[in-house]
Amino acid sequence: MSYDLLRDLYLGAATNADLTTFAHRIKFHVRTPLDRVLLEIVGSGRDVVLTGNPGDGKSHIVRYLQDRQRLPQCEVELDLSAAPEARVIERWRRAHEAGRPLVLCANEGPLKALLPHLEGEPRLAAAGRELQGQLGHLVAAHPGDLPSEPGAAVLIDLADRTLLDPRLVADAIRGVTTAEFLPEGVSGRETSAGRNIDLLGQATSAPERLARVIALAGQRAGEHISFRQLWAGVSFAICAGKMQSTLRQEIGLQEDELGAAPLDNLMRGNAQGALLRAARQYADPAEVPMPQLDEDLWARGAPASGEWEADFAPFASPAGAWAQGLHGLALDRFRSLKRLVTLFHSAGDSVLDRMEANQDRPGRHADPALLDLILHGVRRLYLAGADEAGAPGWVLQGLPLWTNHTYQDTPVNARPHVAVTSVPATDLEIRRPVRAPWLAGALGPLPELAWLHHRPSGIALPVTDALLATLRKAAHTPGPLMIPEAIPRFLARLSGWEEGRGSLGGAMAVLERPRGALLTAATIRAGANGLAYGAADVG
Amino acid sequence: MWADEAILRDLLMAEGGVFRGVVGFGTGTTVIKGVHVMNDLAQCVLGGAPAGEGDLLCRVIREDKIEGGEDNSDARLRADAALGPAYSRAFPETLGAREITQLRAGIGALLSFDGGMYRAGDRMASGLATHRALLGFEGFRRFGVGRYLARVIGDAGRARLGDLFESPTDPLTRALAPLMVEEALRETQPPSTQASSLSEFDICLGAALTTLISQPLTKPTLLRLFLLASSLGICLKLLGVGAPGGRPTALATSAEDVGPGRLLRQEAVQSFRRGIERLDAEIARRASAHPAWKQVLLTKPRRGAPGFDAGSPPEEVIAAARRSADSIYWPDTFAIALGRKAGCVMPKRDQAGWGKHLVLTGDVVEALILMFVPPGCPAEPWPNLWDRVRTELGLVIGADDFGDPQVLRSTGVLHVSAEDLAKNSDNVLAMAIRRGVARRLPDSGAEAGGALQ
Repeated sequence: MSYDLLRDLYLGAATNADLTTFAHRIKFHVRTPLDRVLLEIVGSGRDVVLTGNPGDGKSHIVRYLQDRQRLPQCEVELDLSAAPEARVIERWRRAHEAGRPLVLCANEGPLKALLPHLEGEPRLAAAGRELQGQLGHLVAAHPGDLPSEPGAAVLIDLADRTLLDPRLVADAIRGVTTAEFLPEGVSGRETSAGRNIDLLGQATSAPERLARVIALAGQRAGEHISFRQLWAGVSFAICAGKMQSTLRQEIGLQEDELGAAPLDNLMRGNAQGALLRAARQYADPAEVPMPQLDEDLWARGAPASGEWEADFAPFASPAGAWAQGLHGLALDRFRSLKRLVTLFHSAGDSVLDRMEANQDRPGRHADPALLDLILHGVRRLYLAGADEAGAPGWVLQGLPLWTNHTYQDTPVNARPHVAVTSVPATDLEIRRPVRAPWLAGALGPLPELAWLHHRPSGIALPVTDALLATLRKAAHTPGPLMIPEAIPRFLARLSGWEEGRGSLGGAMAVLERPRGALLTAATIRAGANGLAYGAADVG
Repeated sequence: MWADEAILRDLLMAEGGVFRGVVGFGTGTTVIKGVHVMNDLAQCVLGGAPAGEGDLLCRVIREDKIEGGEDNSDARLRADAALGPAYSRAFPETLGAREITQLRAGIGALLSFDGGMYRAGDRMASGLATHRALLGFEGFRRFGVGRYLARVIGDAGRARLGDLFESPTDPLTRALAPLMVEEALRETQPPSTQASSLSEFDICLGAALTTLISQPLTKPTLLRLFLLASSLGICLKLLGVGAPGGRPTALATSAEDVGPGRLLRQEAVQSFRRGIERLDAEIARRASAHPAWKQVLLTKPRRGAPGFDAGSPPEEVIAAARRSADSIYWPDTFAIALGRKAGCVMPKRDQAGWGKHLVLTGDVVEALILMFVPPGCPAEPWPNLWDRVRTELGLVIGADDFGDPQVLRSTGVLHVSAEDLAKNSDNVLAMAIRRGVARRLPDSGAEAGGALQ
C-alpha cells in the first residue's frame, strides 16, 4: 500500500479490477451483503450474471471471492466483452453439463447481444429467457412489474446498487486512513494529505461525518454513483490529487489545517466527476446557515461550546482578518473553519443534521403528502399564488393540463398556455421503487425516487430530488422559474391520452405565460346554435 | 462579362425556374414562418381553408386595432351581416363587455402568438390552427412549401395529418371551439403542374415525419415538433442538393453548447459550406442547361439597371451573382431563415462573426428521436439511432466515433476531432435525457425512445 495508490483512486487507475493485485483487492474491498447473497445464489446451483456500470465492482467482487477461495465450484468468466461469444456459450454449456454454476461479468450491451444466441442452446435457453426478463426490471415502480424469481440464472445489476449509505462510505474511508497510506519520507502532519490521513484516522466520528457529506452529495448528483466514483471522492478529499512531489513543497511552510482539510478538498473547483461536482454544488457545510455557530466562528475562531475531536492549535478569527481589510482571506478562513468544525468538532453533527434536513427528498414524505406537494408545486409552476384568486376552481385542483403552441424557437416560459381540463387527484398516485425480493438487502437502500403515476393511462413522471426542490420553490415563491423539461413532456403525454378519449367542451383558461397573468377563463357550453363561452366558475 | 441581373433572376427564381427545379418549391422569401408553412400544409392535406378565409378569427383577436379604419368593436361585430351571427353565438352579450374583451385578448394570445394574423380581408390569416376550422387564407402558399411537405409524407402521413386537423379534442381546439364555424373548404392554389420526382432523402424524411405524428402526444406538441423537424429537413434538403440520394453530410452541434470554446463550430460551419458549394454547382449545372441561359450571357444590363460582373463558366456566373446580385433570393437564404426561426440554424443573425451551421435544440432532438423510434417499439440504442439519422437524413452528431469522422472528412470537413464529436454526441444525449426521451445504460451506452416516450 502506498500514498500513490491512494491518490490514484481519484484517477480511477487503482480501481480497475483487471489491474489490481490480491493485496489491493483485500484492502479496498468494502463488505456489503452482496458478498453473501452472491454466494447463496451460486450455492443454490443457479448461474449469476453481474452487470452494471464501469467501476461498479463487477470484476472486483468476483476476483475478491476467487482470491478468498469462495467460488471453487463455479465456472468464472470475468469479462464478456473480452471473450468471443461462441467461447462464452461453450463454457456455459460445459459448466451446465458438469453441474457447475457460471459466474459471468458482462456489460449490458454485450449481454443483450449474447442473450438471443442462447435460444438455440437447449440447456441455456431457459437461462437466457430469464435473464432477458430481468434486464432493466429488477427495480420497478410496482411489484407487479417485477419478474418472477429466476430458477436458472440470476441477474445482479450493480447499476441498481446504492452505495450512498454513510456507514459503508465510512468503512471505505477508514480503510485508507491508516499509516500505510501516508506519503513516504515525511512525518504525518508535515503535508496536507498526511495531516488528513492522520486526522481522519484519529478522530473517531470524522469518517462518519465525511461519509454523510459524500452521501448527501451523491444523492443530489441525480445519477448512479459507482464504487469507482466513490473511491475517487474519498481519495480527492484526502489527497486533492496531489503528487508526492507536490506534497514535499508543503514541508516547512507552517500552514495550519485550514484550506486543505478533507472538506476543503472536496469543494475544490478543479475536482472532476459527478460526485465531486455535486459535492461542490449541494453539499458544502460552509453554505449552511447556522446563525449562532457562524457568529462564534467568525468572531472567536471556534464554536462557543463543545470540543474539538482532534488536536488543533487555536485558529485566528476570520473577524480579525476582516478588520485588517483582508476580506477575501477572512471569508476563506470562515469557510474552511466551518468545514473543519463539521468534521472534527462535536458541533459538526448539528451542521450535518441541518444539511440533511434542508435536502428535500421523495422518501421524506408519505404518499399523500408527497402527492399534495407535487400537485401543488406543478400548479404553481404555471399559475403563481398571487393569480389564484381570480382563477376558476378546476385550475386550482388536481393537475391542470397546461399546453402551449408555437412554431417559433421561444422558451417554454415565454409562451402562452391554455388548459381545458384538470386530471383529478384521485387518478394520480405515488409509486416508489421496489426491488426484486431475492436481491433485497444485497444492493443497499433503494434509489431515492418516486413516480407520479396516472392510473388510467399508466403514464408516469419520475420525481427526483432536483424536481422536488423546484416544485417546492414554485409552491412558495412568486417570481419567474424555469419549468423543468420533464413537466411539459409529462403534461403533453397526459393530454395526448386525454385527447384520445374524445372529451369536448367544459372550460378553458389562458395564461400569458407560466407564472404570468391569467389572461382569461371561461366555461364552454352548448347553446341552441352551437358552442358559446360562458362565465368562468371562479374558485 | 457584364450580365443583366434581372434576366438571371428570372431564370433562377421564376415559377418553373431553376431554383424550383432544384429544391421543389419556391424560395423567394425570408419572412415565411413556421405558422405559414403549417397553414399551407394543412390546406394541401385537407383541400383548402374555410371559405370565410379566417376573417372572423382575425377580427375577434384585433379588437384593439383601430388604425387604418379597422373597427373590430363588439358592437360592430355583432352588427356585421356575415360574421355577426357566429360572433354573437360565441360571445353572448350576457357575458359582459369586460369578460368578452378578456376572452378576445386571451384567444389572440393563443392564436396569433407567432404573428401570422393580420387584418381581415388581407388573406394573412395564419393562426396557430390546430383544427381545419381555424385555418385561414394565406399568401405564402404560393411558394409551395406545404405542397412539398404534403408530397413527402405520402398517403399515410397525409391521412394522419388530416385526422389531426379534423379532431376537435386537443386543448387548443377545445378552447377555441365556440369560434369554429362549419364552412366548406376552398382551395386557392392552382393544381400543381410541376412535380419533380422525390429523392431518397425526401422519402426518408417523409416516412420519419409520419412516424413523428403518430406518437401519442398532445396535438399542439406534435404539430410543433413536426414543423421543427420539417424546418431542419428543408435545411438538410438544401445542403444535400447534388449529393447521392439528395442526402447531405451535415454536422450539427448541440444548441446548448455556447461560449467561445464551443465544440465543433468550425467543423459544422465547414460542413454547411460544403453543402452550399454543392448546391451552387447544381444550380450552375441546371442553369446552363436551361434554354434561357444564353440570354443571360448575352444580355448586358440597360443603363442604370443592376448588373454584375460574371465569368463565362456557369459556376463563375453563379459565384459572381452570389457576390453582387442583391435581388436574387438564394434557396439557402430561404432555408436559413426558416431554420433560424425553428432554432436549428446558428447564428441567429448575419451580423455574428461565425458562419452558418446547424444546431440541435432539445425540441429538435426530441423530434428526431420520435421520428426514428415508432410508438410501441423498444428503445433504440443511441449509436444505432444516429446511424439511421445519418444514413437516411445525412445528419451527423458524432454518435459513431469511428464512422462519423470518416464521413465528415470524406466530404471535405477538415480536422474533425473524434473526441470532440463524442463530446458533442454526449451533449445531445444529455438534452434528450433531460427531456425524458433517452437514458444512459449501465454499461456507458444509452438508448432513446421506446417506453421512455
